[in-house]
Amino acid sequence: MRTSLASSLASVAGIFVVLALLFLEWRLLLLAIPPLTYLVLAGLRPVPAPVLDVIREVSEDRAPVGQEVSVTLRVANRGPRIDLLELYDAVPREFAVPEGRPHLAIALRNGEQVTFSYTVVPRVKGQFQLGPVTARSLSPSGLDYEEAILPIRTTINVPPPLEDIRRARIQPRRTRAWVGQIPSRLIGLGTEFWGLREYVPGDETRRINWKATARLDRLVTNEYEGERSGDVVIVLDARQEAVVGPLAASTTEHGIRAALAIAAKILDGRNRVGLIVQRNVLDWVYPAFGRKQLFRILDALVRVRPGGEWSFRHVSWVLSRFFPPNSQVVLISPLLDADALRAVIDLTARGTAVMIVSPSPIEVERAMYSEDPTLDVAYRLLRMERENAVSALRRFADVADWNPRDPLATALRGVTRWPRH
Amino acid sequence: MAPPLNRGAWVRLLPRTVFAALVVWTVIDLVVAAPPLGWAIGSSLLIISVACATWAARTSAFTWNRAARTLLGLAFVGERLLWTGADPVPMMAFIVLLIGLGAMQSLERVFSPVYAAVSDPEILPMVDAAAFGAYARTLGLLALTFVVSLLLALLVPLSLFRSASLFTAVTLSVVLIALIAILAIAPSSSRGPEA
Repeated sequence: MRTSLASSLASVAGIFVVLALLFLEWRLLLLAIPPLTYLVLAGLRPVPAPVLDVIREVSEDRAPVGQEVSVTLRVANRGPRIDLLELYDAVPREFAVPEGRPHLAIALRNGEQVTFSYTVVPRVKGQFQLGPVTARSLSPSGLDYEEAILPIRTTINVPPPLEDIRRARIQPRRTRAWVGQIPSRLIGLGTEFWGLREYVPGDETRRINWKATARLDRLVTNEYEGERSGDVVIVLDARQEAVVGPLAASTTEHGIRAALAIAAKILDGRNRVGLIVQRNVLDWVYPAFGRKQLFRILDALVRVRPGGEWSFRHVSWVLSRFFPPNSQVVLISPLLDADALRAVIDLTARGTAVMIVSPSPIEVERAMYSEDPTLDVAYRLLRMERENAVSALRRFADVADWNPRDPLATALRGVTRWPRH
Repeated sequence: MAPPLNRGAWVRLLPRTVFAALVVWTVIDLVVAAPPLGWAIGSSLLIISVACATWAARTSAFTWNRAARTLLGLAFVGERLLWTGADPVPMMAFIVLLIGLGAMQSLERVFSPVYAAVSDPEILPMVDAAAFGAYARTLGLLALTFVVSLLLALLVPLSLFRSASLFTAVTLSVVLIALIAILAIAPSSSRGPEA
């Protein structure tokens, strides 16, 4: 393939010929000779097309944000000798390359092999692909090249970081019949003492309260408060209008982080957790228990890209039709529009318990700019507006107004323990 | 073994030296032969050219190099044709050096980032070999181009142009333009993706 330099030389030669004709100046015609000669001489030895075997190895195919992944490329030449081979491995723009470079220029004989490495660091969560590898056999004259695009791709999954919120008191407001870890205010299986009753045949011997039996002179059995589990549906607002800030530190990315942490915490308490993601499409993961469910939710969250304009009405509809009734809803949204506020009021009016975790868009924006008195005034005004909105919402739901620069656990500490029904 | 940074500096230094030499050459010509108007136009073109080259070097936006070369060539050829006199041999030498500058700048684009990043002692000799071979072939090709161009200039009976018929001039021009077109838009022999 010709480069732009070849086209430029041909153009220059053409211009000299035309000028020579226009001005009838033969010496101008002579000036067309060097570019033409260079083009002809360089064209005498065409560059060979690269025929390569390339293998890419990565140290990790699943790495959290900020963890280094070492990439090694082994390239073997199966074609003729290449005097100047330029190799370029395509790296997603969400990755930083702190060490080495996915770019090499070497000479490679037939059968010769070269191995080179570089390191990438993912800056945002997601599912990314390394590759393809572009191999260019360059002419030293700079006039032409042969290119081969080697479709070798390696997928790297980057899960969002899992925040530690073990000490946060988050649990479903309503419980179901399954055994769990939430005291249910009903007699059942559990560890918390509830009361005493007359022994009935079939009661376990270890549950007999011997002190009360001795005092009352008849068999008395301990009763315990039943510990049960509940259902939680996490609704993540990833609409286009809910995105504030740069990709790696946007409200959506913080929301994803919060969703994963809350899902892990609630699943850890033997509850069922489901997920609805509001973006270009309405993704959902039906509630289930256990570690597998955490991975299902993680996989769904890894693929989240902000976008779309799905209304909260659709979320309410999906919740009422496809999800278990009386599920606790945890809405994760920056609360930027009235639609989100209306949705919360609508859900609580239907008797759904709602908790809101709101990554503050004001704090995200403030982190983007340096200190400035004018911005400071604007910040204070916006903050006042937001506090008013949050106060209004607190009449309907528990609200954690989260500054994403602080740990999520700090924001959740301010949420009161929900009353149990 | 020299550290890779020095190699990168050499790769950058070579085209910049050639560019500086060509600018100085043009300035000398302007000083010696050009009237004040020539000075004004020529120096303006040179200043813009140097600015483009500096911008390209600072931002690694190598497309600006093309603008710098074009302006430099325009200043030199214009000054030669208008004031100093169109002596073919130095003009051909200048054009060959300008072509060489383009080739070296494309090599700089390839090798400069590679030398900035490669520190592996096993890879570095391979990069060195490729760079040395590429520069040697480029310089050899430039020398050959100059010699062949001179020979062609001597061999082609150019004096015919001044006295020949319009038919001869037009025919030769059409042949040259056809050759240029073939060289500029030669069919690509690149293959598809190969694993």
